[in-house]
Amino acid sequence: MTDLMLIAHVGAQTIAIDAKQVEGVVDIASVVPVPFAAPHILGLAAIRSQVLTVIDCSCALGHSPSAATGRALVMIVDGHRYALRVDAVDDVVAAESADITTLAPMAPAWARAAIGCVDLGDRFAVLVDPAQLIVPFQAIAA
Amino acid sequence: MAQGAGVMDELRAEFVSETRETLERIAGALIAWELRPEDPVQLDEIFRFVHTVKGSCGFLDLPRIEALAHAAETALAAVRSGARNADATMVATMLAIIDRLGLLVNALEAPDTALPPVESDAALVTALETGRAIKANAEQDQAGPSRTVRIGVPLLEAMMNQVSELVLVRNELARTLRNSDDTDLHASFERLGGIVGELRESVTRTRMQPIDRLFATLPRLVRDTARDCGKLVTLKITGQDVEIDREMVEAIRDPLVHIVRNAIDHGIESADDRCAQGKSAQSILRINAAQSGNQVSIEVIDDGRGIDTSALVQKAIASKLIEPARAALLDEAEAAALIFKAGVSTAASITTISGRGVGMDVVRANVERLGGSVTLVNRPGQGLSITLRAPLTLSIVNALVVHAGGQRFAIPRGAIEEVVSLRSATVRLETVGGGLVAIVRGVAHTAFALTPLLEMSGGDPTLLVMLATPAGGRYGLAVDAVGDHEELVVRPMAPQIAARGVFAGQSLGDDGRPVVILDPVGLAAMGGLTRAEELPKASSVEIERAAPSVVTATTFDGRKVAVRAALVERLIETVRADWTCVADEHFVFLDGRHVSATVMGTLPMDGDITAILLHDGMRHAVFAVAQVHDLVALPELKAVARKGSEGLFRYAGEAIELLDALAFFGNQAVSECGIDGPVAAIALPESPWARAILAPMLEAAGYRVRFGATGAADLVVHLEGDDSGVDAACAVALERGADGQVAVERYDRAKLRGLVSPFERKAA
Repeated sequence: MTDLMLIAHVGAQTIAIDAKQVEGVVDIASVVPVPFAAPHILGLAAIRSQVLTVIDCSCALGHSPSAATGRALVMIVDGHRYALRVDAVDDVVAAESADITTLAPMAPAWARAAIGCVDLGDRFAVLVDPAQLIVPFQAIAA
Repeated sequence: MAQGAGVMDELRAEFVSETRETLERIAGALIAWELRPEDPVQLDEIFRFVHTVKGSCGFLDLPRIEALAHAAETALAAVRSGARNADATMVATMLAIIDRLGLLVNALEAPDTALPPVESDAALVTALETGRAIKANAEQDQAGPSRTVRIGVPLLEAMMNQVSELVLVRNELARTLRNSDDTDLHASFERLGGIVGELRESVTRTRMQPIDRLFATLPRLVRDTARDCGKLVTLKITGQDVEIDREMVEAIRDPLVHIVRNAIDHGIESADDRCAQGKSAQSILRINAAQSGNQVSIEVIDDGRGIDTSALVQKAIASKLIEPARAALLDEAEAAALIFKAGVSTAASITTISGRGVGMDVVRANVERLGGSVTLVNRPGQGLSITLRAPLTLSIVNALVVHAGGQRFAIPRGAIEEVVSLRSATVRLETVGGGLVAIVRGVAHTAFALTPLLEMSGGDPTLLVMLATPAGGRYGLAVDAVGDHEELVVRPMAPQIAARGVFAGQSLGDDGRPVVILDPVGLAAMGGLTRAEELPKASSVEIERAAPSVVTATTFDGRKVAVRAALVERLIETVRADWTCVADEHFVFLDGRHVSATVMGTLPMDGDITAILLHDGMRHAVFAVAQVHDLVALPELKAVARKGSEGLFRYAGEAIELLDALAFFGNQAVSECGIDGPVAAIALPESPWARAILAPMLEAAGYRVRFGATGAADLVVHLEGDDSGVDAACAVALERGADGQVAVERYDRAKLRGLVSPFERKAA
C-alpha cells in the first residue's frame, strides 16, 4: 500500500513518518526547559499561542543531543501537542513501506521506534512511530 | 379591565410560586410513596397538591394544567378509596405527570419556553387511566429555554485560544506603542485593549455554567440509592444558580456522588430506626452550594447517625492504621477525620453502594488535586456535614510569575500569602542541618530555595514567597525575582514532563513564552514537607530508634553544648528587650506570652539574641545561645555525672557537652549515669517527650530502650489501661488523665526515677 511519507533527517539517518500524523513543519525559535524532564525532552515552545512539548529525536534515538532550536515536526499524540526536533526536512513522497526486521539488525533505540522501512531509490529511510519517540527510552529499557 | 388583568397576573404569580414550593415539598413524599404505596400519609399530601392545583387552574383559566391535575386527582382518589392499587408503573406515571405540571407551571413565568406538545399530555393521562407504562421517551422531549445555542467544546477551546492570541498581540503592541507620542493612537489602543479584556472575560464566561447541571442527576441518584437501601430520604438543594467551569462540573461529579451515596447508605438510618430514636421517619439530605470569592463550596448535610467515632477508631486500630496508644489521645474531630484514611469504612457489611474501603481517602485526594479541600463536621446521632470546596475554574489561574535560576515559573495567587525581601531586616534565611529555615518577623518557617528544589543550578535568592497550601502546609520559597501577576490559561502538561507532581500545568505567559505553573502542594511534598495532620504509621514490630541527632551551639559563657534535635522545634530570633529575669529565672516574651528560658552565662546588654525553641510535645522551653552551629548525628557518648549534663562527646575536634533536656523543662536535679542492663520497652506514642526525656532516663537507669513491641522486655512503660500484651517482670503504667493525656508528673524527675528504677521494683 502506498502512503504519503514525510522524509526527514536525524543525524546521518533518513527517517520517514506517516504524513497523516504530521500537523505541520515549524521552526522552533526558543525553548523553555522544564525541570526534571528526561534528556530527550528539550522543553516547551510556543507556536501560534499553542504550547508544545519539544522532543529531541536524535537523543530519543540514542544519538547525541541536538540544539534546542531549529526545524521540528508538529504532531498530536494522546491529545498533547509535540514538536519533534529533526535536523532537516526533505519532502513528502508517496512510497511503500516494507518490513524492516528482514533488512538489518538495529540499535535498540532505533529498533523500538522503527515500524518499517522505505526504499527511496538512492537510500533507505526508517519509518518511525512518533509515539515511540516521545516516550523516554530509559523507561522502556528499565 | 387593565386593573383586572393586573390582579390576574398577581394571582398567577402567586400560584406559580406556591405550586413550585409545594412541588419541592412533595418530591420526597412521592418517592416515599413509591416505597410504601400503602402509606396514607404520603398519599394525602400528594392528593392535596393535585387537588389544590386543579382548583386554582379552574379559576385562573389554565385548561392544560387542569386536565392533568384532574386525571392525577381521579387516580389518587381511586387509590385512597381502595378501588385501585398503587404499583410501580402507576407511581412512575404519576411522577411523570407531576413533572409535567411543574414544567407547565414554570412556563407561565417564562412564556418563551418551548413546551412538549399538548397531545403528549393526553398520552400521560391515558397511561394513568389504563395503568400501562408510559413510553420511555415520553419525557425526553422536554426542551429548555429557547434562547440558548449549543456549542461544541472544541469551538469554545478554539475561541479561548484565539482570545489568548489576541491578548498576546495586544501586549506586543503595547510594548511597541510605548515609544510613540501619538495621543490619538494611544487613545484608540486603550479602547482596543479594554475591549480585548472584556472579550476575554466573556469567552471565559462561556465556559461557566450553573452548578445545577451537576445537581440535576442528584434527585434520581438519591431516589435510587434510598430505594436500594430501603430508606426514606428527602433531598433539598439550594444554590443551584452558582456558576462554575464546565470542566469543574465533571471533575467534582464523582466526589459529590460518592459523598451523597455514603450519606444515604451509612449516615441515614432506616425509617424504623429513626422512629425508635424519635426522629421523623423521613430523613432530610441537604445540599447547599455557595460561591465565596473564587471558590465554590458544596455542603452535604444529612440528619442521620453521624460517624460512630469509637467504632471508627477500633476499625483503624484493627487495620493497623493507627497505634492504640495514639488512638487514645485523639479528640472527637481527629477521630472523625480518620474516615479520610485509606482502607477505613464504617459500614459493618459491604453493600453494593458503598463500604468497599475505597472511599473518602480517594474523594479527598481527588478534590485536593483540583486545588480544593474536603472537611467534615460530625454530630453523633444528629448527622454529618461534609463540605467540599473547589476553585470555580480549572482553566484560568491568577498567578504570580517568579524567576529562579534564569527561568520563569508561575505560582497560583491563591496559595501565596506574601512576598518578602530577604534583604529586609526582619527576614532571614538560615541553613539548619542542610535544610532551610526562613525567619520572618521572628517566626520560623520551613523554606526551600526554588532552584535546588527543582534540581536546577544557579539562582541567587533575593525574595521569599510565603505559601500556604490547602492541605495545611505552610512554607517559604526563595526565588531570585518576582515578575508580573498574570491570568494564565492552564493547559495540562504532556505526561512525560508532568510525572513528578510538582507542576500544575503549562501556559503561555503574557509575553508569548511558555511558562510552567508550579503546584504548591506538590512542591511541599517534593521538599519533604508532609501533611500536618498525618498520623504516624502503626507498627506491631519492634522499631529501631533512628540514630539520635543533636543541635550544637555555643553558650554565652563560651561552652560548646548540644541539645537533642528531637526536642528542637525551631530557632527563634529575639531582641534583648524581650528578655526578663525574675528570681534568677529567665523568661522570654514569645508569641504573646512569657516562656521559661535557660541562659548559660550572661545575656548581652542589647542587640539580637538567637535562641532554640524546644518542645517536648506538651511544653515549650527556650534556650538562649550565643551561636547555633550545626545539626550532627550523636556520636558515642561519655556519660557524665554532673548536674544539667547528660554526657560528653567529641565532634570536629572539640569536646561538646550534651545538655540534659529535662533541665530545660523541669529544672530538676540530676542523677548518676547508668550501666548496661535489662531491656525496657516504651509502649507510648512516639512523642518527643518519650524519645528525648523518658528514653534517655531509662538508658541512664541502665536499660536498653526500644519502642513498640513489649514482648520479652524487663520493663514496660505504657499507658494505664493499655495493658494488653504486657508480660514483663515489671510494668509501669502511666496514668491516663481524664482529658486523654498522660497524667503522670512528666517533669518530676524524682518520681519518674522512682517509677523506672529497676531493681527496687523487682525486689518489691
